[in-house]
Amino acid sequence: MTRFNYLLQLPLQARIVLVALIALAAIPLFGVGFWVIDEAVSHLQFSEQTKPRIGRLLGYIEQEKPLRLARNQTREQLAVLSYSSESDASQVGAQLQQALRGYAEDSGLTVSGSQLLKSAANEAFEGFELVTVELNMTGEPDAVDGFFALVDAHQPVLRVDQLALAQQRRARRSSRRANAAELDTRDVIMQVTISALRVATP
Amino acid sequence: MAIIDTTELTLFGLDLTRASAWVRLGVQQLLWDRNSHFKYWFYPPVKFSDEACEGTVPVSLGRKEDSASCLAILLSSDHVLTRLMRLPTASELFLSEVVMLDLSSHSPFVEQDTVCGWSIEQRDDNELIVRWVVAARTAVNDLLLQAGFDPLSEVSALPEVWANTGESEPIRLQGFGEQRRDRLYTATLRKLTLKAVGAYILLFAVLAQIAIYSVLSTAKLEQKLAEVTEDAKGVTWVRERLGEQRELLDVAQDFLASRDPLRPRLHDIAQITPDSVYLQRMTFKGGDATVTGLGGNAADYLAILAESDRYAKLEASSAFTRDRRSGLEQFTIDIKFKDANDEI
Repeated sequence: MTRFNYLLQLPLQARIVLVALIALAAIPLFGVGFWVIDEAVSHLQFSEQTKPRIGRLLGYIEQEKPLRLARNQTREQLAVLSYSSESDASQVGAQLQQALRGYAEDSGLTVSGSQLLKSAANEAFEGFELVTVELNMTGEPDAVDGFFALVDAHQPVLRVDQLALAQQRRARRSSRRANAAELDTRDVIMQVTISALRVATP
Repeated sequence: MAIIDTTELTLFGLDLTRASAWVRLGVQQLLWDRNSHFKYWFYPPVKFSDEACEGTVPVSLGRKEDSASCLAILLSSDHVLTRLMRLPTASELFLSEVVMLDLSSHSPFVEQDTVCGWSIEQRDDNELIVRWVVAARTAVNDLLLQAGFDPLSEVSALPEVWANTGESEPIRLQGFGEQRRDRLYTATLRKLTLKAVGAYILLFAVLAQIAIYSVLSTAKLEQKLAEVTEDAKGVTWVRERLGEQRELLDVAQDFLASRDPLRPRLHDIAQITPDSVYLQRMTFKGGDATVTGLGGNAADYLAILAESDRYAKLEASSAFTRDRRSGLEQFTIDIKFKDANDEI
């Protein structure tokens, strides 16, 4: 006789009492069972997530000195490549203009104008702002080379985005010979656009 | 004395008397019904005092074992009056009272000289068939004496008395040794219940132990994590900044790589360009340049540039024209520089 048949053979009241007793025993058992499983699974998940995290943090603590050293080195490398976020963009722009004007003067160029440009929207360096300065200068061709030598040596690194060099125009003369001599000795007009990176303020 | 118990059981004004009787009936059926597995397994066995009386032991009266300590004797059907009652199933709630009432109204014996017993023979959804038996106490006493028992001794010293109805299974008469077996059965059930409850509680304790262990372990781990996080606060900050700075450094490297080597390019053009060529205008943007100038032979100059193999592409964007004033050829050449990495 199967258990189910046995249950059916019992009188109705006995059946209901038996089912009620089984349910009374089973419901708290299932409840506690699910609670235990839930707690155990939660613990396992938490443990799986937490133990590697603790290990990682302990590893950081152990490696604090090398990490600080690495951070300082990275900061120094970054300082070579970009302006820091400590000064705001307009201050950096003014600083850059001032430096470039100084280089122009040092190399013998005469600055006729300079301005801070808005950075190009199509070029984005994530985490940075592009500080762009346009300079108009005149001077001898050798001075141009000297100027770019100083720009190349500048820290943080600068990028020449655009350069236009043209001979400075003078009054017309008819003689061919005079013309050739003129072509040799004329000063150049230079328009240059130079960019630098500045760490964006978070 | 009232035949039916009329004690009221209420809960918040609800009459639970009937429900309580219903539950009691269910429990009784579960433990005492002829189909009960509890009774089948745990009801103590019985043996007949007179082997000659041995016949089929009814299911409702338990198993027969020769080694059983409980005895039974069988009263012949000649000494027994029997009656079959058909009742509605609902009457089972108060069956003993109904049977006793019917029995008292049909018994030919005086009340003091009457022994009786009854059993449910059949039960279906609508009807309950109950058979009761009644016999004269003197007839039973004679049988007891024949079996070697003193009818006047204590009930516990007497065997069970079963009445043969001649039509169906024997029915046990009440008021003899049957209480002993019932008590043994009840005691066995009580022990089993206690064991089951104990096992149940133990199971809960084991499960709770697992849960408590999990909760405590989680709390311990949380505490450790909090301590380590606190200890590593400074270094975590350094680590995060380092990560951020490395990302910035990578981007800044891209900026560095995007720089064109303008000065070497100017030097190259200056170096390659012969003295007979005068450069009037040069523009540099990205990897391209446009050079405008005057020369004795602009095509030669273009050839010189091409021979140097320093440029990816050279193109005269307009036709060479003779400048009337200087007598030189005017040219405009578009230059595409090779990739900066290849160049240097």
